[in-house]
Amino acid sequence: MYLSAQHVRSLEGAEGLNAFHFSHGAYIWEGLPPQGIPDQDPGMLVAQSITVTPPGNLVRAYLDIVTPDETPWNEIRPAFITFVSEAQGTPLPWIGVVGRCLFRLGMDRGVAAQWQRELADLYRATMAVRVGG
Amino acid sequence: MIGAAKRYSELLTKLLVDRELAGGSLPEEIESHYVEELDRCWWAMTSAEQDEFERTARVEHAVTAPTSLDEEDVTLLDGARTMPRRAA
Repeated sequence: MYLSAQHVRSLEGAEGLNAFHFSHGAYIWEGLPPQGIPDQDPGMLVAQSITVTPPGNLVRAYLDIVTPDETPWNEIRPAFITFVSEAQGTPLPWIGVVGRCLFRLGMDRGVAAQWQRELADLYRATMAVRVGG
Repeated sequence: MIGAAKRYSELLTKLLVDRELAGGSLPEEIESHYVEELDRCWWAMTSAEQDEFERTARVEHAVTAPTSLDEEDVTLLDGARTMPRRAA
């Protein structure tokens, strides 16, 4: 499963969060995701939430979560908090694996001034778009 | 920063992020757990480490980021198997 939330800005200046849920079905792994996931193989898009219509919007921030489809939120959330606490203090973008969850977080400088609020908004957007909760 | 000081910094970030994810506040028992652990780490630090933490905390809780990500989003239809963004 690949969940992605993107904070985007249109050419007209409209800003919002778009989120995507890709599924890998019954394909299960432990630790690092198999090579190519998500960049060459994001899975199959099964749901999306669009507030600013693509294409061509500038991506100002993103949160990517890659983990087997079955992974519950009560496993993802503590892994995410650990990822952030370990990455904080290093320059963005942050990339890390905790357990069987891969996280990637990027922000531009303007958004990063409020990075804790931003990452929480992105995280909630991934929760909302996930089919089946 | 090593040992208790590093642990203290990580715990503080965890607390702040956990609060944000919860919408601004945590249940009292979770907040208390963090505070107890932070307190334990604080008193395990040397006075020099405590001074150093207080001096640098504001800087360390800021993050360094690029001026632009140089990426744009793309239109996807249900069933798509491509990434939702690409290099601009």
